[in-house]
Amino acid sequence: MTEPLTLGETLLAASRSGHKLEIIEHDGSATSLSYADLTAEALSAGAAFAAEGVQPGAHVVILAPEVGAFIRSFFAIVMAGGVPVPLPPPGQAGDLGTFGRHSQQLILASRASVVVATPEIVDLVADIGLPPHVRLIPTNGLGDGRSLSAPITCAPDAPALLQFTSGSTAVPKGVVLTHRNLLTNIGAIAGPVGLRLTPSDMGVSWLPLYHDMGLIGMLLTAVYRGSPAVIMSPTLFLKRPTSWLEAISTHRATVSFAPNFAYELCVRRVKAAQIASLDLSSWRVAGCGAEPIRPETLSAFAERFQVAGFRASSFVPSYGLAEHSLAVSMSTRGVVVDRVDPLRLGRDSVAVPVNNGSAGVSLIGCGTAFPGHELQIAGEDRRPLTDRHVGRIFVRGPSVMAGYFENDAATQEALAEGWLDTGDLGYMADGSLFVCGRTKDVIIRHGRKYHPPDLESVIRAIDGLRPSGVVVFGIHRVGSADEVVAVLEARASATSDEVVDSVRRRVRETAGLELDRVVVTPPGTIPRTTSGKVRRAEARARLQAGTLLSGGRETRS
Amino acid sequence: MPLVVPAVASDVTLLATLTDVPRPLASDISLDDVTREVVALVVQVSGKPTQVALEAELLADLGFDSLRVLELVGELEDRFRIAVPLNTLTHIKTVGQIAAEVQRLIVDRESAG
Repeated sequence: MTEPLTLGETLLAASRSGHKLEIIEHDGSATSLSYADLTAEALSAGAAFAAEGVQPGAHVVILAPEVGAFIRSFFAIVMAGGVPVPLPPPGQAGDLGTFGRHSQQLILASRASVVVATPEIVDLVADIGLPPHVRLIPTNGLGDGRSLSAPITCAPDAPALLQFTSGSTAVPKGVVLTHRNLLTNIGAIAGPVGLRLTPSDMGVSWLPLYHDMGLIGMLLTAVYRGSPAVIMSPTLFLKRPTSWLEAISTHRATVSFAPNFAYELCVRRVKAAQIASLDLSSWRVAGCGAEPIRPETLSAFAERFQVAGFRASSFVPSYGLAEHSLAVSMSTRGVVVDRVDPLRLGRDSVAVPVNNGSAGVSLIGCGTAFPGHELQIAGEDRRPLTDRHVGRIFVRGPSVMAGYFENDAATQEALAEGWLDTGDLGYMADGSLFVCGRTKDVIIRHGRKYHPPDLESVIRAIDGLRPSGVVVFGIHRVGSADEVVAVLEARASATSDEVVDSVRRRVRETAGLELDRVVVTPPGTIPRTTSGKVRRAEARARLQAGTLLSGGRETRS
Repeated sequence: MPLVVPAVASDVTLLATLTDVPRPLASDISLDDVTREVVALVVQVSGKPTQVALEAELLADLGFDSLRVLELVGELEDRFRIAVPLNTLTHIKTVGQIAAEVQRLIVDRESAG
């Protein structure tokens, strides 16, 4: 049998494995879905998509909070030769307005003419006001008895997935990944320099399927290997973190990935009595990625779950980004900690090791580039730097995206001569990549990305506030979560606690983000360019140096 | 014995009238017990020792983010042996609305069982 070159062929190959997915929904209900049945269903629903006019290469948006419905829709679109565009389903607690605006913006930006939504949310989606040329199809309305005999043929270099990179942004950036991009990256993750996965490895994932780590790293990787996997609802995990660990224990799982915050949540919320009934000894690969990794989190988790058979050597700290399909590098030799002098790191951009006992900051190694891929640390002049010098992380190779969808300016900014500018900062030491910050302004919280200009416009739009200037930035703290700061200029009469309260409230309500600091300053405080644009990096530097505030006041939570 | 309650007790006024007089819900829990326990769980999950009004909004007033909201849902489901439907929370903002929804789900469960 020849190696599959497209997602459709990959599922077809998995259908002969005899393995299955176990699907657990938000209410804990579980069903089995064999790859053979999934293939048959996808070929049948794929015929329905084709009958609905979905042409090869057409973008089809998926809005599905339910795990089973998402997986079925995804592969039906794949079989029809379409390009799935997974979007986040409605969130929680009264943010329907945000869901509507956000989805409408992304559906338009994706140029999809078909949106599939599960029955439970199809009315919500209808309510957001889709343009007349976009058809909304409920997932239960697919299939009329006809079936495709095989996946519609796609070229390996044709787009396979359109993935929007963040929760909300003024100009949405859709990452276009080809079949070759995805299968190369998955092959590297699964391969001998990666996780050395075999068809008998058992994966467990609660990660959102509209996000790259859940979709590509867990679901598509399992399909690629034809290996069994348990795919759970993120809602179930967030309601009961122990459900993740129970699934690993029950199914004797070997592989599971999650962002740092998930491990933290388990330490905080899984009770001793629950730990007593867990057996985590089968867990060979405990991947950690998608946001900064904190050494304290990993050691706290390892310590707490050691009694359940968890081994700290199972941790696989990883680094990646959507523009590189998913993974750039992973540390398959466990947790490698580099303890360096924070002063030299911040001042001189050099990672100087400190002796045990001295004050130091701990960074976690994320391994090195996959075979056939290149990784380079470069200075502002784009010249490569030597070991232990902090610079921009550039990557090149077959996992790098084709580009951003219909956004040449952003594509040219990110890609030059095949090199992808990740926007992240790091250094190499002892053959391992250490990530220590970002050059871009993006703020990361709980694995989600937030763009400061969006948050600034949220604050500017608050009724009655009318600040003369607003700037929002994240302070990237090495080995810790971003601290999110909003600085606003208000007239003296308006510098009340109500201002601060209303800013916090609005950002919480519309973006779901908790501001760590709100600083109210007199007009003229925020540094600007000659054309009046706020200078975010300068504002951040001045705040950190203590030279921004003269007469300003601030609150912390 | 099932108690007659409007299908959706979604506003705070209605909640107040329901909870003025302690009434037996079923075997062992009354409606104002439910409200009291919901408020206690909200306080526990918020992590702040604070007074919580029924009008308080989880996100805007109590500093909940989406993670905390789901933590609260998990606690409510475990405590009251209910299953909160997937989309319920997209319509709900205040503590009072949550208490009303929990009451509704308990009544549903009791009348189904």
